[in-house]
Amino acid sequence: MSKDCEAIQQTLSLYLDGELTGHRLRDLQGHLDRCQNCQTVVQDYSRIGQLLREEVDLAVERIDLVALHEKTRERLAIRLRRTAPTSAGLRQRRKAELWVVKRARAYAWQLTWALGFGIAVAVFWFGPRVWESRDQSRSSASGGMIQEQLGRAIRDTASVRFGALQASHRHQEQLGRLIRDHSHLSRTQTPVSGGSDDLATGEIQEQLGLLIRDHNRSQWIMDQQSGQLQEKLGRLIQDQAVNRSNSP
Amino acid sequence: MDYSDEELVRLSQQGDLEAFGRLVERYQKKVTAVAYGLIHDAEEAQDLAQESFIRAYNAIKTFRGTARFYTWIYRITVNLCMDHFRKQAIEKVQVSAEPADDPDPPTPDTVATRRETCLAVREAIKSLPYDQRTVIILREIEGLSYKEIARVVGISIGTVMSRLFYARRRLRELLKHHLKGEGRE
Repeated sequence: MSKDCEAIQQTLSLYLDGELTGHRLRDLQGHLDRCQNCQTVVQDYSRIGQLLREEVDLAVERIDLVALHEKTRERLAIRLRRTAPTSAGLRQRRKAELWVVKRARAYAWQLTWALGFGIAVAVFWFGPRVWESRDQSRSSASGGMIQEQLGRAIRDTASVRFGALQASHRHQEQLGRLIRDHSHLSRTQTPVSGGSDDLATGEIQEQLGLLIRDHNRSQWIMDQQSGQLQEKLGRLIQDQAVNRSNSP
Repeated sequence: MDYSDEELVRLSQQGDLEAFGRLVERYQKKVTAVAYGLIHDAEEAQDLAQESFIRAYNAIKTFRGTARFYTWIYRITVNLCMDHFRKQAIEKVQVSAEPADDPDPPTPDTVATRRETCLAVREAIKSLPYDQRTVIILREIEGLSYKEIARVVGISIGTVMSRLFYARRRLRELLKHHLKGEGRE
C-alpha cells in the first residue's frame, strides 16, 4: 500500500457513502482509476454492507411481523388499560376530584372562621391586659417619682434632726460648763470676797439665760422645719397610697 | 388514507392508539432490523422492538417534532439495545468467535458457503465494539445519513465518520476470506 493509499483510507469510506463532493471527489476518483488496491478496498466495503443487509434481512424475514405487530398492540393496550381510565373509571375519578375540591373548599371556610374567631378572642382577651399593663407602667413611673421625693424629704428631715441634735448637744455642753463654773463659784464663795463673786455669778446666770434662749429658739426652728417636712412627707405618702390604690 | 409521520404523531399525542398502530406498522420492520443488527438474537430483537414502541408511545407527548419520527424511534431502540448489551456483557463473558481467522477456506458448495458467510458476518459484527456496531448498522441496514446517525447516537458527524471507517476496516479484516471467496474468485 502506497503512502497515498494510506492517506485516503478514511476517505474511501466517505466516498462509498456519497459524502464526498467537489475536488475531493474528483481527486479520489482520479486515484481510484489508477489504484487497483483502493478499488478493491471500496469493493470490499461495499460487499460488507451487502453482506450485513443480507444477514439482517434473512433474520428479520423469519420473524412474523404481523404477530409481532399484534403483540406490540396488545402490550400497548394493556399499558393503556393500566394508565388510561375507562369511562366508568373516569366518572369515578371526576367524582373523586369533585369531592376533593368540595372538601378543600369546606376546609378553607372552616380555617377562615377559626382564624377570625381566634383573632377576636385574642383582641378581647389580651387587649385590656395590654392596656392595663401600659397604665401600670405609667403609674409605676409616677410612683417612682413620688418615692424619689419621699426619699429626699426623709433625707432632709434626718438632716434637720441631725443639725438640731448637734445644736442641742452644743447647748448642753455650754450649759454643763456654766453649771460647773457656777457650782465652783458657790463652793469657793466667802463673805469677804462677796462683791466680785456676785458679779461672776450674775454673768454666768446671764450667759445661762442667753444659752437657754438660744436653745429654745433653735429647738423652735427645728420643730418648725421638722413640722414642715413631716407635712410634706405625709402628703407624699398620701400620694403614693392613692397611686397604689389606682394601680391593680 | 395514507397519513404522514407528522400527522400520525400528532394524532398519537392526542391519545389515538390507532394512529400509533400505523406508525408501529410502518417502522416495525426497520426497528426490528436495527435491534437484530445490534443484538443478533431474533427473539431479543422482537422484544426490544416492542419495548421501543411502548417507550415511544409513553413518551410521545414529549416528542416535539424537531427530528424525524424514525430517527427518534431508532434512538430509543439503540439505547435499549445498548442497555441490553451491557446487561449481557455483565451476565456472560462474550466469546468472540472470529471465523475470519479460520484457516480453512469456505466450502465450494454455494448454499453452505452463503450460510457460513452469514455466520461469519454475524460473528464479525458481534465482535465489534458497540459504538462502531451502532453506526455501521444504522448506515448499512437503515441507510441513514451521517447527520441522522449523529442525531440518533448523539455524537458529532466527525465521530460518525471515524467510527464507520474503523468498523469497516475491522470487518474487512475479519471477513477477508469470505470476501476473497465471493468477490474475487
